[in-house]
Amino acid sequence: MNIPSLVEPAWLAMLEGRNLEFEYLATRILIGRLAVTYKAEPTEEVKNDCVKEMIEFFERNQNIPKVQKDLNTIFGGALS
Amino acid sequence: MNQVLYNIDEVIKMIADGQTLILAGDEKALSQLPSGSWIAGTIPYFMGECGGEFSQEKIYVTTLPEFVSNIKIKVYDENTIKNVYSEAPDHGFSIIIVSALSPTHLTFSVKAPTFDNFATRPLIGWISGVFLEELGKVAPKIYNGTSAKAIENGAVVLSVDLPKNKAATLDIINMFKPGTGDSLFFEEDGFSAKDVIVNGKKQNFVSYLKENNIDTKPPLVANMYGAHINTSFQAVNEEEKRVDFYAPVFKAVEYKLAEPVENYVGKFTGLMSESRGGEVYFSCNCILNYLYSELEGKKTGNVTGPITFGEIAYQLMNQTLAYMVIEDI
Repeated sequence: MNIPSLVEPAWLAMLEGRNLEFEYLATRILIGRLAVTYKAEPTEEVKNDCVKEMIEFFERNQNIPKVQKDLNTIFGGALS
Repeated sequence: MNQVLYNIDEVIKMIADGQTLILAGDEKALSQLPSGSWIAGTIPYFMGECGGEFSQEKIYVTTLPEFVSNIKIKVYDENTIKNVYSEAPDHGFSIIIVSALSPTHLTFSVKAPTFDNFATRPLIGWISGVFLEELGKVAPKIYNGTSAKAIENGAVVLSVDLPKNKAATLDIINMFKPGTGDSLFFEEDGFSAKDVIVNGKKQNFVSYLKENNIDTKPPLVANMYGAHINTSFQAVNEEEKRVDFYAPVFKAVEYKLAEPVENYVGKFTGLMSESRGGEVYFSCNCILNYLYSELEGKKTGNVTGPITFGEIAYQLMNQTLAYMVIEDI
């Protein structure tokens, strides 16, 4: 599965509280926590750190079916 | 249903046979076990094979599947618990038991979301407890079976590697949903709060609860992208105008009072059959669900496990059933 890079705007939308529901518990908890972190300090540096953490999480867990569904939820089913 | 509650002699034999075990039981039972490859936490309440059960003699036993490898046991304290996610296996799972009311419990509960690699690798477990009539007289404990010694302040973690074709998936079953009422925020992270921001306006939290005649048996609920995370009320201290919780509230997170739940067992059984998606390998449920829903003698589907003073699925939760499934990928 190709995980989109740092510049993909959908990552930032997640940090800004885009209202999606995920299947994998860790996705929900991790993005929920990162969104709170970014809301408290909405700087470019914090944004990049948070997006990097999301990408690392999805890279690590991309073989899990629920994680694949969550990625497709974020990117509108455009991933393969 | 498979046997999960064993008497002390049976567990001693399993340890002597060299099995690696994850145990839950009263201190009176656990203190009789010899050293070996096991971890444990104190609690005398269980969802056993026959339903909710209180016992100070029986021990709840979880064994490891044959396909796991690289078994490690480690004890953390309040200074080292920050490493718990980073030191978890790259592809496996970790089971953690934390001694309730200890400095390690406090640090993990409040700071876990800030630790490196938070929620990136499966970590499930529970907070140890005691017979409720002994609360305040006997300290909850954990055990590292390697020495078989009780520990009052710490977290014991058993971690394993999984083969590449298997993955551990954690999930929760939470009967509680955020209600449609006031939006609540807190100004600080912590196990207690004096003030609350209600729909943008600050007021004393005790006064708010009293004025609105709020039942504090249901928890506060935060909605984290569809995960409903509870924080249970422990005490409303009118003298000190302070509300205490069983898990921390976090600043910048919106909370709602939960809708009340009726017919816990019926709803639970329905939700469990909907959502688990595989054989549950490990689970634990909250002492408050056990008490408020009167689960003693009742079965909650085929789900068994210790009844705990807090559930951990990546982070501390309350009034929630946490479970782990090992699935083929």
